Parts: sequence; C-alpha cells; structure tokens
Amino acid sequence: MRTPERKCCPVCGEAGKRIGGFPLCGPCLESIPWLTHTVCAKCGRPEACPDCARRTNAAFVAHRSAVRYSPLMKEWLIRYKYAGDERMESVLAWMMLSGYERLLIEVCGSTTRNVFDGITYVPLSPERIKERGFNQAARLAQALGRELGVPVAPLLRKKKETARQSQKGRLERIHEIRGAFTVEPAVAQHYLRSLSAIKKRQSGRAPLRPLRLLLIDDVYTTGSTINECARMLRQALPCYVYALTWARS
Amino acid sequence: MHVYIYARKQDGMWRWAVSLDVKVDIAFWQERDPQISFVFVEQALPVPVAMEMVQRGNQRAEPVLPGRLPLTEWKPIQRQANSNPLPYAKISALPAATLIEEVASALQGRLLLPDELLALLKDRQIDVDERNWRTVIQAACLTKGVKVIAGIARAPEPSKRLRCQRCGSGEDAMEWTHCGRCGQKCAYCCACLALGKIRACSLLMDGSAVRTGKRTEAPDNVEAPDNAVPIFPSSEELHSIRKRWSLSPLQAQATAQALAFIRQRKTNVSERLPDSFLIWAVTGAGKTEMVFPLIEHEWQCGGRILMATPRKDVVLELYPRLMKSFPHIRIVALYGGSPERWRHGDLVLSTTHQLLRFRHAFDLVIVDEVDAFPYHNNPMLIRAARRACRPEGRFIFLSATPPESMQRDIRRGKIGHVIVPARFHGHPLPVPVIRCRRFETQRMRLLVNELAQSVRRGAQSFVFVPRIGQVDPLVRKLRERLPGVSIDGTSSRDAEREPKVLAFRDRQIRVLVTTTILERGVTVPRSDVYVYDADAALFDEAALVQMAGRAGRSADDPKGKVFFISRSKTRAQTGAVRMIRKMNRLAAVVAKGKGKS
Repeated sequence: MRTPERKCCPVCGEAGKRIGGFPLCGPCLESIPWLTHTVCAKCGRPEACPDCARRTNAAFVAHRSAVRYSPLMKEWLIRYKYAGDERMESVLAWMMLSGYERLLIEVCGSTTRNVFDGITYVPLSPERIKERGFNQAARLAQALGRELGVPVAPLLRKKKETARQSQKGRLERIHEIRGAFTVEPAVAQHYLRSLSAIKKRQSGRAPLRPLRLLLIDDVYTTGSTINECARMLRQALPCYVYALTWARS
Repeated sequence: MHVYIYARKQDGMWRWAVSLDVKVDIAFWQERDPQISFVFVEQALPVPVAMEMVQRGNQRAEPVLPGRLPLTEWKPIQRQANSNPLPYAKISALPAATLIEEVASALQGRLLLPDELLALLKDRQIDVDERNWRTVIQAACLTKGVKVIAGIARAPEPSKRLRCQRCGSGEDAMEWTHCGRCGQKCAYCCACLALGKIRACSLLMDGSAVRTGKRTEAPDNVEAPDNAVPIFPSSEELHSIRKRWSLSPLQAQATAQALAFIRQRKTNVSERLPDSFLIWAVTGAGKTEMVFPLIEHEWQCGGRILMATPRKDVVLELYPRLMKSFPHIRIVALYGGSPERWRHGDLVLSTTHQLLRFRHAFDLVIVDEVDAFPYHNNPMLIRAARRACRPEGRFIFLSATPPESMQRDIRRGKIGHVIVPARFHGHPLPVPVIRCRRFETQRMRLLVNELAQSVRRGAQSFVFVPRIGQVDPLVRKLRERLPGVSIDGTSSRDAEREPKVLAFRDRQIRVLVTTTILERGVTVPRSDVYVYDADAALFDEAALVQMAGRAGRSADDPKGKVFFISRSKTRAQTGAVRMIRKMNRLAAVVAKGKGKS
C-alpha cells in the first residue's frame, strides 16, 4: 500500500509540519532574520556603511542579501557547507529569492523577472571542491537560474588558493583577494556568442546594450570577493554586474 | 574518492581486486609468486564504478572488463643470469612492518572514514599522513585483515538496492546529488550525516577482522583448569561480590544470574543459547550497580566492554562513577564532541550514535534503557549496538519497562532474563491512584488541592503534562492558585533545564511542571508525582510507569504519592497500575521466601 509522502522540514527534521508552498516548517520559517530595509543603496546594508564610503571604484552596480548572517544562519550554513547536508539547499535557494526580489525593486526599479541576461557565481578552487564535494555558490546560482529561467554560466575561475576569508580583517582581505580570480578570454568570447545566439533566436536581433550579469555568493562581509569578481567580469565582458548573496554579516 | 583496480592470475583464474595503491599489491603478490601475472587499469576510478567492475570482472576467466578501459599488463621480467636484484624489488612500496602493525591495531574493531582514520592516527601519534595513508592501509589490508569497503554498497543482483554500510539505512534515507569528488551523480546517506558524510564514493576502513590480545575463558587470577569455574557463582563468590559492590540481596541475585549468562558460553559453546539477556529491574532498583560486577568479571577475562546509554547527560554522569569504581581499567567516554574520541579503552562508555564507528569491537555490550527515546522506532541504533558486539560476544539489556516485543521474546524463551521487582531499599513501589474528572475545572481543582497537600507534607512535586505547549499555561495557573509556592516549568526546548532541575533538587523550586523529558534518570528525594491529562495518547504504559517511578526513591521517604489525573481511564493507565502492582506482589513473594529460608 502506498502511504502519502511524509514531508519533513529539512531544517529541524520534523515531519508533517511543513506549510504548503514553503520548503520548511512554520517555527523554522519564523526564525529566519530577513533583511527588510536598506540604508546603503550600494551594498544593501541595513545601517550606514563605512565600506562603501571608502570604496570609490566599486565594480558592481549594487548588492543585496536575503538575510542577516545571525548565529542561527551561520549554523544553517555550516550544516550545508561543511557537514554537507544538501537537503538544506532547497531552503537556502528559496531564501535567495527574497533578496532577488529586493534587488529588482530597489535597484532595477522593475518587477519583470527577466532583467538579467545571465547568472554566474563565485568559484571555488578545485581542491576545495574535492574536499567539499560541491560549490555552494554554484548550487544556489543553478537553483535560482532554474527558478527564473536565466542561463547560469561558470565564467570565473579561481587562480590561486586563498586562506579562509572569514578569519581576516578588511584590508587583509582586499590585498589577498587581488588577482585570485580570472575570466578566460576564450570563455568570455564563447559566452558572448552563445548569449547573442539565444537572443537572436528569441527576438530576432542581437542585444546592443551591455549585458546585465547577476553574481551569486553565499555570504557578503566586506564585499572584497564580490568586488574583485565583478572587476574581472567587467574586464573580460561588456557588462554591468549586480550581486546577490544569501546572507550579509 | 578514487581507487584502482587490478587482476592477478591465480590457479588459471583471473581475480580482480580493488586497491588503494597497486604498487603495494604487486610487491606483495610477487613476493609470494615471482611468476604471477597482473593486469591493471592505470586510471583511478570512482569507488562505486570500481566495485561494480570488480564484481563483474570476477565472473570471467579472461582479464576482460566491461566498457573500454585500457588495461595495462604487468609482466615479471625474467631474471638474468648475473643481475641479482629482482625487478619488483624496485617497487619498495611495502611500508615498515611495525608501522602496518600499529595502524592495524589502531583500527581494531573500528569502522572509519579516511578523514577519521587520519585523525585517529594523528591522535595516537602514528606517523601516517595524507601522502602515505593509501600505501599503509593497502599494506594493512593485504597482511593484517583490514578491509576497505564502499561507504554505500549495492546489494547483489536481484534487488540491487543501496545500503549505507555504516548505519545500515536503505534507499529511503539517501539523497542523490552531483558530487565534486567523483564527478558523477552520487548518493549520500542522510541518516548518519551527523557523524560525517558518507557518499557512494566514500571509502570505509573496516577493522572488524583485526584482533590483537586474547580473551580468556576465566579470570586471570583464577588458576584453575578448563571449565573449573562454575557457571553459577557459588555462595562464597556471591557474598564477596555483595560485599565488594555493596549490593542488596535482590541485586546480588540478579547479578549472579547475569554472571551465569556471561559464563555460560564458555563451557558449552556448541549449544544454541540466547545471545542476549535482560535485567528487568523496577525504577530505582539500582541497575547500574548491578552491572559493575559483570564489568569487573569481563575485564578480568581480558574482554572489551561497552556500556551504551541513550543520552549524553547519562554518559557524563556515569563517567566519574565508573572511574571511581574501576581505577584499574582504561575507560573512555564517547559522545558528540568528546575529546577522547580516538582513544583506546577496555571499557567504553558511549552514546548510541557513536557506536556506528565500531564493528565487532566488544565482548560484552550493556545497553541501558532499551525502551528509551532514541531506540524507540529507530532500528538503526539497535543495529549499531548489535554490530559493535563481536559475533561470539554477549548482550545485556537493562530496562524498567521493556518494550512489548522484548516481553514477547522473553515469553518465547528467546531472551534470558531476570526480574528485580523491588527497589534497593526494599520498600514497595508507590501505586498510582487514577482520578477521572469530566471537566477541566474539576481536574484543575483536584490537582491544586493535592499539590497543596504535598507542599504541606514537605514533598517536591513533579507535574507531567503531555505537550510542551501546556507547560507555561499550567505554570501560570498554578502560580495563581498556589500563592507563596515556588513553581516553575521546563521542557526540552528550555535552555535552562539543568539549573532548574538542580534548583528543584535543592528544594528552591517546589513544584516542577514538565514533559516526558524528565521521565527517566532524575532522582529527587522525597517527591510526589502528578500526571496531568494522563489519558493523552503520548503517555503509553512505559512512560506512565517511568513517571510513577520518580516518586519515593529515597530510603527515608519511600511512600511518595502518584496521581494520574485525567478525563477518562485508559488502557495505558490501568496497565501501568497493574504492572506496578505485579512487581510489588513479586517483591513480597521474594521477601517472604527469604524470610522463611
């Protein structure tokens, strides 16, 4: 006999408490510290932002996050990233949508969903991928791309192994991250060709304006990683880079 | 993780095998037979692929593999007249024998992931790291009986279902994702994720077949010929046990029976005996003290002992007690985040989840509170405990309320058992009083009146409710109706549970409203028990017996009150009362028999 599928909450594991349409249960849903207001228009910080004031040449147009990086969110991310509990993925990806919505409304001033031409993500070094089994930013980007119907492409490559970002101060981060990423020219050319081919098929002519790319990562702290990736993207492609992360600390 | 596969020609047949380091295998087999021929695949393969290939390749007489993997042939070069070194001697792949020995004995009885193995070896200060572990482990596989198995294996042909080799979960507990390690779709097990992720491409190091040290049939200090130790302890022995561990006569009787069970296997191994034994002791009988003589006996025989408890709190509470009682035994406490995780112990005190890292490691396994929460409806943990025990080892269960399935096994004679019907102080268990009132207000009035009496008597009162959500409202109501009495509530969601329980024990809190979280292991002198809404479906017979068992545990106030307050009488309530009455009757009979003789 077939029993109805038990829908467990991927966060707390409790069965049968999931609310329809949400990937998690009521109590867990309520515990999420959503970011609801923006003060810094550039990086989406909910308070006055010294980092953006100091940064004169930000390579990205704007950045938004879905949630505050609270201790609970840290716990969730650790479960996903380091313990490898990939059931959390559906929850985190779903949460990204809220940040995406805010990026659209506050920055792009539009609510149509096909603002972006492509999605890309912050890469991991091959050693890290071997160690962890997956790139969390790539997974979130792919989930978002599926949801929005926007193509996801691995444009960036990590050139040098950097020590964990989470252990360092702001200046150290900026210095260390410089030159850590690259976009291969061949990859960029191929990407442009295939994107314009898609556009031609859809609307009959190639796009004239620069591309709008969405860059995905899991956590935004000082923005040095995002900025460096955006810089490399802009060097290789005629594009504007928007950034979206899951949490900001 | 990637591994290599190779085949060797032996007795005209090609045998395929998986290897972490083919050079070791070649060196090993050539040492035995210089003319042996090999073929191997130079490319490293993901574990599931390699396992499948080996399985299929083994069914053939020719060195052929399915698919188009290029095979490389390894030919022994003929020894020339005046060149003395053998060609394979160039492969100086076999590590030092002492190192292999050390690694194998560290792995004894364990089931570990490579990362865990490396952490263990580092903890034991054995000189193996990321670079040479493959070589060393492969050598240990060939010479010391260590096995390298896939983390998730496929069952043979008809079902072909996946099964986690660590926790035994089936496909229901698996998730399939793309894996960056093996570069293909790959399953992982969600059931034992907390112990480190196991993927289909993970390897497990299995040291179950390694055995160093020997268990003897009799304690070392008994210089008697074979089978001279009587199965059932003699009265002198019993007396010395009683004196040494200060046991009550009833406890000593039960211990003697369990001791006989442990010894039984030695004299007549051939007979098919039940392999587990239940000590069914009422709440407050002193179960833990009863197993101390068993631990001592097993240790003297040179066996390894495991004591498994459901909760970390219990491990932490029991650890100092064991250290005091057995200063001569190496004791290791295992729980999530334990600093002694990789130590070797002759007596291991562990939460049940940690047992998943063992396989065939112990000669005596004692499982405390078999009916408690983590075991309930969780075959994984019982399986883990069974697997941690050696095939010829013995199982002892402890419980006050054995589950129905176990009671059935007792009736059928599948499990040996002994019942300890009275508490260590010899007084009968308090019998619950069932009070049914139709309306909430009536029940509340009843509760308040009885609580007031308890407080006047100077007793501490537990009030059990079925759901966490009921705790706070009830605390509020009781505070209103019983001014001047300190009342508090706690539940599993309460971060301050520990201090509250301590305050309750110190009589700073007089009435504690709680859920089933406190049904076990809490001893508060001079206490009464109230079960509010005792007809809730969540309160089964075992839970009610356990809760009733919180009352009257100390010798100076053995007559605590127990009330079941509910809307209607349920089978669970009457069953609990019947069970307690039965135990009291049994205790009376035993006591009478003692008095006569």
